[in-house]
Amino acid sequence: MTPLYFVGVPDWRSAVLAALFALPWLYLLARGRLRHWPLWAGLALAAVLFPFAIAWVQVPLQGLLNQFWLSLIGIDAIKRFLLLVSLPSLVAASLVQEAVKLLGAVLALRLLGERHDARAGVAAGAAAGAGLGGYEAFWVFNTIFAAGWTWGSVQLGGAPALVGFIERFFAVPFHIGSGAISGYGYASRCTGRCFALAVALHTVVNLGVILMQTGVLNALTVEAWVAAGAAVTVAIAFWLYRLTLHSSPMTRNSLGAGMGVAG
Amino acid sequence: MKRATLALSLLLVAWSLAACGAAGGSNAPALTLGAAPWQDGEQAVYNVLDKNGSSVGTSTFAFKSDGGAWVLSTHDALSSVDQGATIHIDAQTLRPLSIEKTIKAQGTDATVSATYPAGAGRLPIMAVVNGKNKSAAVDVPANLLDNDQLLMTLRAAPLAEGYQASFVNVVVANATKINTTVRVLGSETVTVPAGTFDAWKVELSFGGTQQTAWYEQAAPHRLVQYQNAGSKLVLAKG
Repeated sequence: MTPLYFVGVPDWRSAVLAALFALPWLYLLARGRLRHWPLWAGLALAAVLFPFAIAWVQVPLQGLLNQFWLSLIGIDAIKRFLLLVSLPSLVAASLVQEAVKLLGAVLALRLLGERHDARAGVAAGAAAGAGLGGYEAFWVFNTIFAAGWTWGSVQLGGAPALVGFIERFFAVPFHIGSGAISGYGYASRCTGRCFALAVALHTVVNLGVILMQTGVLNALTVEAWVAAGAAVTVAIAFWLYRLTLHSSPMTRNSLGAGMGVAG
Repeated sequence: MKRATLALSLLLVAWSLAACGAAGGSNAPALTLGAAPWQDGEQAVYNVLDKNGSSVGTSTFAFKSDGGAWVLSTHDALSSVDQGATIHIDAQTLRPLSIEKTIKAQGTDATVSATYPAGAGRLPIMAVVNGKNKSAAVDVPANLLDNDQLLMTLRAAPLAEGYQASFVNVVVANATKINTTVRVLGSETVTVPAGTFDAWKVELSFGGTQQTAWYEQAAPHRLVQYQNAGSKLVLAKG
């Protein structure tokens, strides 16, 4: 599997939709810094790294895990204990993708020169999340359109024909939220805890797919699962953002300027 | 550092453009078809095998002449689904005129019908799915094949070493239209229950997904074998 697999057949509609799904959340979490070019550097890095990280790290890692379980317990036991057996693979995927977002956030923060500004950390992490989440959405939409999707598919098939779009509608803000959490952690000197939280949230969201395979969730309720995971993650990101409002040097300076205080 | 950002952004754009070139639209010419190589009353039966090579059913294709059209009847009798289609095909152009398809699977009882426009235009699709009436419409180009006629109709393509062509594959059952490329990869000797054949190995590329078909080199250019991600058809009789 090469990184090109994670491009698909490029379609302009995919790019437009990915941007529409990402930009509003990025604005809400990174306002005040959107004109700062380092933010876009972090976004671009996460987007560029995504196909390589998935093709060259995540997929081989998951392949090794699959081989390990197969040789250890066999296919029948794997099917019986699918939920348990899938957990390491889910964690591996979360680690790889959250690491990509953290890398993007670190780059943006260092270029901004605001290494220990928590609000900048939220913004940088959100930007990296927008890069990875937006690129992933671009790839998924490319796949959907290349498979021949038309509005007629919705007219005939109903809501299930929109599942791919609905899922990305929630997945993109999830990535932005979890990126913001990691970025906040890096800037607040609690990288480990916040990164672990982002990985845990990511794993829980991805667990929905396994729950669908085991019959606990169906195609519709798994989207509700993703939506709930995204809502929790974005809520935490906004809570962290609000925490930074009263502690950010930039905010203090703005408030100071508004009150006529020198400096 | 601004240069770093510019470099990264250019890399992203370059990457996307490179992907456009590598994985994007086909350069193959539009599909042109010769005369129909099949005869009135021809019937072919295929064994359908799963990924492990176990038999899961049969697929049958039969041609009948009806004035200025061919009537292709297909029937897939599989363990998971029973479906059939009747496609009217223009005898001159081999373009689809109309289709009626029935699908019976667990949880699904559907009938889908559509009448193709004369050239590029609007394709209205009518369906009854589990007792509910549904309709859809899809804009289609002139250069198209219906998905249910595709494998048989490609027998009329001038297959040869290096041949490639493109068209739009329309699947009325889910109202999708897929940019498709046909490419001859080479020749192979294929052994199936019906015999051993010198065949053209043909790659069918459906918007990034690849499938393979083997067509008899000698007339009537029968489909000898077909393989996709989940199943394989091998000529058993016909």
